[in-house]
Order: sequence, then C-alpha cells, then structure tokens
Amino acid sequence: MKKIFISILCFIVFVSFVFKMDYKASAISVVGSNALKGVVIGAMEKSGIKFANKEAKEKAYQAWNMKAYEKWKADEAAGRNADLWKDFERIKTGGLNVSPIESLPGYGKVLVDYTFFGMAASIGGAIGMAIQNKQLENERLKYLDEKIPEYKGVSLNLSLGVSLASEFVSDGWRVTPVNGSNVKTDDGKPFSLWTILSPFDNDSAKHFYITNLEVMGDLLKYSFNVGSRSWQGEALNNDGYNYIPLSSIKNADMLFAYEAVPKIEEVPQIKIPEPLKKVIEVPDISEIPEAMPQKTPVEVIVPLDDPFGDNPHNNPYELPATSPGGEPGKEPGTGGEPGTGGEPGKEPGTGGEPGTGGEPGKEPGTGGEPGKEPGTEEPGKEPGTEEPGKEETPEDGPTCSKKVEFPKFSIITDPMSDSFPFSLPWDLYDIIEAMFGDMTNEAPNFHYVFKFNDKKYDFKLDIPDYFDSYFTFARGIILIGFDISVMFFFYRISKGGADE
Amino acid sequence: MAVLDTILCALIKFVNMITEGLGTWLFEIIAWLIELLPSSPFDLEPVKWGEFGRLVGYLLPISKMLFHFALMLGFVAMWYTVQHILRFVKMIK
Repeated sequence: MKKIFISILCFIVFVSFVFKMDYKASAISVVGSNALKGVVIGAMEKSGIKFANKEAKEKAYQAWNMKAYEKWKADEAAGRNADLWKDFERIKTGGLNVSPIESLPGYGKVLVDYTFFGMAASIGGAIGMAIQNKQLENERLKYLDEKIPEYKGVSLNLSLGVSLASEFVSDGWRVTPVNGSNVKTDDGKPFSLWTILSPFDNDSAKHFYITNLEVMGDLLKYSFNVGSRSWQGEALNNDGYNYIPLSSIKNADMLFAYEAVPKIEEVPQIKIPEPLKKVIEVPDISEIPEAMPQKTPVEVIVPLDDPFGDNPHNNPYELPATSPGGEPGKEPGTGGEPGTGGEPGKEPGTGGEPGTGGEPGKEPGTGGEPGKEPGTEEPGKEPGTEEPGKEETPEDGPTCSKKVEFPKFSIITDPMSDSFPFSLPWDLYDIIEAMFGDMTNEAPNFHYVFKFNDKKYDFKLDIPDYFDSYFTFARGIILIGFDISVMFFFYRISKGGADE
Repeated sequence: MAVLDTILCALIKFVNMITEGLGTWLFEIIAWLIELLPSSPFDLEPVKWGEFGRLVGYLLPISKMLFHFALMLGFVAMWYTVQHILRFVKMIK
C-alpha cells in the first residue's frame, strides 16, 4: 500500500512537472527529428545504401539534414515557406514558448522550431509516400516482366489497382455494396462497403474490396483500387461518400495472388509539395567518406597447403630451366615479383628471387622458409652451395603430406553461431561486448568548454602517455586478482566441490 | 624406409579420404539441420559509456573480467552437468 502511494505521488509530481515546464521547441523538435530519422534512414536503406554501423547512420542522417536545411534556407529566401511560417505563428499564439537554438547548425536549426517540425512531418509523409510509390512501381514492373495474360475484364492499373471496362460490367460484373451495408462514419457521413462481383463461378475476384470507385470521364470505365490503405473514397453519383473501413481492407486479398493483368491504364502520381521534392531525394553521401560503410584493411595470411594443386603444369620439375645460370632442381621465375630478388653478390637469375632461392627439397615457389621475406636469404650464401643430394628429382614426385586432415568443425559452428538456442554462447559474448565493449583501454580525453563573461574557456584533461605502461600492468594484476577471487567465490559457494 | 613411407602415405590418404568425404558430408547434414532452427533473437546495440566509462575501462578491465567470469561460470556449469550425469548413471553417489 505504501509503495502504491509513493508510486502515485511520484507520477503526479512527474506529470505536474512536465506540464508546468516551458515547452522548448528544441525538445519537441528533437522528438520529431528522431521520428524523421527513422524514416530517412529507412528510405536510404531501401534505396540500397548499407550502413556499417550506427555511427554511419547518424552521419548520413546529419548529411541529409544539412541538405534539408540548405533547401529550407533557399525556400525561405525565395519566400516559399509562407504557409509554414503561418503555422508557426499560429502555434506560437497557442501559448507555447518557442526558442530557436542559434548555436546548433544543421541538426539543431533544421528542426529548431515547430515550423520545421511541421515540415519534417511533411517530409516524412512524403518519403513514406515515395517509398510506397516505389514499391508499387516495382510490383508493376514485375507484372510487366512476367507478361501475365489479361484477366477477364479486369486490367491492372497499378500493382494494387484495377480498372474495369464498362463493357465487362454489362457482361455481368457488378459493383455493389456488401450485404447492402449502409452505415455512418463518426462525422455522420453515410458509407458502404463496396465489392466487385464477378459473373464467373468461384472467381476469387468477387472477394475484392474496393476503394476510390469513380467513373473515369468519357472512357466509360470504372476505376477502383483493391486493398488500398486509403479508407476514404471519392464521391459517387451524389449519393454521398463511399468509405472503406480499414477492417475490411485488412481482409482484402492481395491482387497479385490472382492472375491479374499488366494492362497499364495510367499511373497515378503522388502529389508531393514542390518545395519538398528535392529534399526527399536520397542525398549523395559518397562525398562524405565517414558516412559510408567503413572498410578497414586487415592483413590476412592465406596458408597455401598445396600451392601447385593437381595441375601437372604447375609442378616445378616439368618446367624448363630458362636461365643459363640456373641449377638443377631450381626453377627460375616460378613465383614472386620480378626484380625483387637478387641481392648484391648473387648471380642474376639464379638466386634471391622468390621461389628460387629456397633450400632444395622444400616446395619450390614458396620462397624458402615461412615467414622469411623473399630475397632475404643469408648474405654470402651463394646459390648452388646448398647441400647436394637433397635435390628433388622428377622421379621422386610430390611428397606425401603425412598429415591427417579432419573435416573443418567450422562447418557446424558457423551456422550454430546464428541458430537459436545454439547461438546462446555467441549471444552471451555479444551481450558482454555490447554492454562493455565501449570501455576500452584507451586513455580518456575529457574536454570541457565553459562560458564566462562571453568568453569560452576550453579545458582538456588527458592522462599522460607516461602512465600507459603502469596502467597496463595494473590492469593485468587486477584481472588476475579478479580471477583468483572468482575462483574462491566458486569454491565457497560450491563448498569445495563436495556433494551437497 | 621408402616402403614404410609409402604405406604410411597410403594410410593417411585413406584416412583423409574418409574424413574429407564422409566427415564433411556428415557435418554438412548437421549444419543443414542446425540452419533449420530460428536465427538468434537478440539484436544488440552497443552501449555508449562516454568519457567516464572510458576512464573506468582504462582503470579496470571490465570487459575482460566479465569474459573471464562468464567462462568460469561455464566451466562450473559444465562440472555440475557432468556430476549430475555421473550421478544419474550411478557412477558416483
């Protein structure tokens, strides 16, 4: 009871505080900006841009935001933001304290006030429409590609739109209210659920729920959309409005489940406000390298178990010795870059080149001992001074590897790492990494900026490099101490491993 | 010695043939079965700790400590599992 009372009290205080405080435009605009960010990033990802991490997304969004801000400024200069400013003034008179943040360019200023918040919402909506339009266009192109034969009487207008020629209406196609429904909307307008009835038995088309029913001018065609998300239809024959509630549209079957038809009547255009047109384009962020997926080059050592494979032409002993100074068992120029070998004092074309200067008996072409740079043989060791007798002759053939090769266990562990519940150990690792991966061993840099008497004071607090080695040592000791303490902890709670 | 080498070589090749063929085939089947399972439901975003978090990370190896703790916890869990299995088959009391 006491806890409930305290909780209610806290809630009341919190709510009072929220409603009492002045509304800063920035606070609400940031909310709007976060909502918009999702839309923008989603649009970018849909257009094929892949982001390496969250930071890349942030930077891409900021780049987009700056472009939006520039566009907004241009519109402002051209006087195209009059409506937005009108809204802004209207909201200001609503008693809200709007304070723009002048010091924040781009992110702050773009969404600095309600004006831009309204604009951001418009942009978000326009982007949503553009995405939907693009998806519809893709569906339409898919139908065009597949060249599905014309369905009886019904032609595809868009992927989700159908046109019905009037001659087919006379053949028995009918557009009727569902079960004679005639109910009213919240604001008192009557509406009906409309459906199209096919004259053919067992025709799935009769289950189409339709919207936007209208007569298309002189063409004597009825146009309607199937399964559209728009729930308000056009006026029809002055009988009132035809509304299609969402509940019926939810149940509408998707058109592409049927053998519908790629007869394009017209492609409706989504009307986007002129000033917003360029803004909704996905910006070219290629000029901002940090916004693109990061590709850090990583040094990779590729082990070559069998560099020659099964190809007999790769066997060194079958290659002719082209160098006049070449020795038996050594093949000149079988690998490596030309010109990198040949130390001073060595005869050209005989030693020093990768793959030629190694010891006989080793696999030729691998450049001597592993880890040894080509051409870094001991100086003074003349080619041809290696021990004779170890030379590989053509009769010997390739030697046996004498190594049992087990199948790679990674065949199983790779899918395990992403298949629940086997992925739990990997998930645990990811969780710890996500939780504390940011706490690296890098020395922190504190940077404070204070304003005093209209002057800025920068303070930078760094840990000197001098302490690095000491702290590395200290971390090691702490880790070992922690491990020992954990061992004692387990020892104690398990009572020395004895039976309970 | 040459004969022994040849025999050893043939033996190794035979074993390799079995492991590469049958073993890989078996592994592929198991991998296929595992891939039927749903993918991991966790979608984690790294937590940003800021400069103070870095300071803590600079002083204490938190991440490594937790890895070690989780690893030891895994071994203890394994120990108890084995203990219970042995008790179940009545090898120990």
